[in-house]
Amino acid sequence: MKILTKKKILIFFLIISLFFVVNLFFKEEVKNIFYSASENAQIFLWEKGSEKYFSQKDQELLNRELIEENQNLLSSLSELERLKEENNFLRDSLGLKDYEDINLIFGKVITKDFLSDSILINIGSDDGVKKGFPVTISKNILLGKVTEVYPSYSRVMLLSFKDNLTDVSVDNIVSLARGKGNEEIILEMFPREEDLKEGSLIKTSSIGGNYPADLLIGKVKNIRKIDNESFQESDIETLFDLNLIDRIFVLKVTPIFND
Amino acid sequence: MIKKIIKILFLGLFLYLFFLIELSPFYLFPFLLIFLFLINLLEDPRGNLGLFSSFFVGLFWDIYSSNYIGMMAILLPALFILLKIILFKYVRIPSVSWIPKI
Repeated sequence: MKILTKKKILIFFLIISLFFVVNLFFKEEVKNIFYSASENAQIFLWEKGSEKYFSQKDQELLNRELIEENQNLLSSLSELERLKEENNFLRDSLGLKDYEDINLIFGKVITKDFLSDSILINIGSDDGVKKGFPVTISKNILLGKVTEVYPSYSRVMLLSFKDNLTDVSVDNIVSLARGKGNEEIILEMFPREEDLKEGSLIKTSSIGGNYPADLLIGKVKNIRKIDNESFQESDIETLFDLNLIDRIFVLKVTPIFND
Repeated sequence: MIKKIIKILFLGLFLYLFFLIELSPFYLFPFLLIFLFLINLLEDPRGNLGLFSSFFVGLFWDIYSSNYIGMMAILLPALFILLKIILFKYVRIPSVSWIPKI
């Protein structure tokens, strides 16, 4: 009895040639057709899945965390208001103008590729999305950047994508964030002699030119100092739960960051 | 022949629905890959269900990731054919008779 018949081998080579032609000429169109066909079903599944995931979380614990977070935010808010007034006063006295607001494109998450830490969003080149645009939630929490653009859809590589490097700054000290896959990111190359505090906010740095400065990435967690190493590292606690994200923003950043 | 094509199309549709579930937050573990292993392991070595299933899962995987279209659609069936040949020649696993044949 033969498992590999001549007919099967012939069909196999025909299919290879077909795929070759599709990849050469129609790759984007074919993917776009599939994404359009399944968009509604996927949005429905994503919303239902998020609701289920949210209800599974311990509500009481979540409430306690939120109250604590709220208190911290309120205290920072009063400090920020004072700084804002001070800043406005100094700007006026120096005659400086405000920067133009970065344009935002609003979109929705359709799917997540669980094997490669990327998501698919429902806006594409027709909406003005280009490769390299940063993607955020709530205006300044960074998710990742656009890596593939189709007419109506785009693929976003998350910061946690394996071996993805991002220039970050923690308390004004520049270091690196490295994706580990599975939604994990670690902070690397932070000088050993500097003081790294648990819970410090990690923001993007414009040094690498990939992202505008001061987009939030996460918080410092589990600091590790290894003997004989001149740097220290830590885990990064992200500020979002990917399963609960629904809406995202694509930043139409200036050519400084994108060209 | 037409019956066979309809069966294959239904199989594709069925796997597509499960694939969409696997892309949503309902995802718990790679159940489609486990399904493929089980089907290819347990079906009659002459059967084609495992082969078509792995082709469809591979194709959807390529489309919904940044892969080239066809990469996994070719690799997965090739891998399972290899597995079947090895099993058929060197290992004796009882095949399950109630798995439908295509």
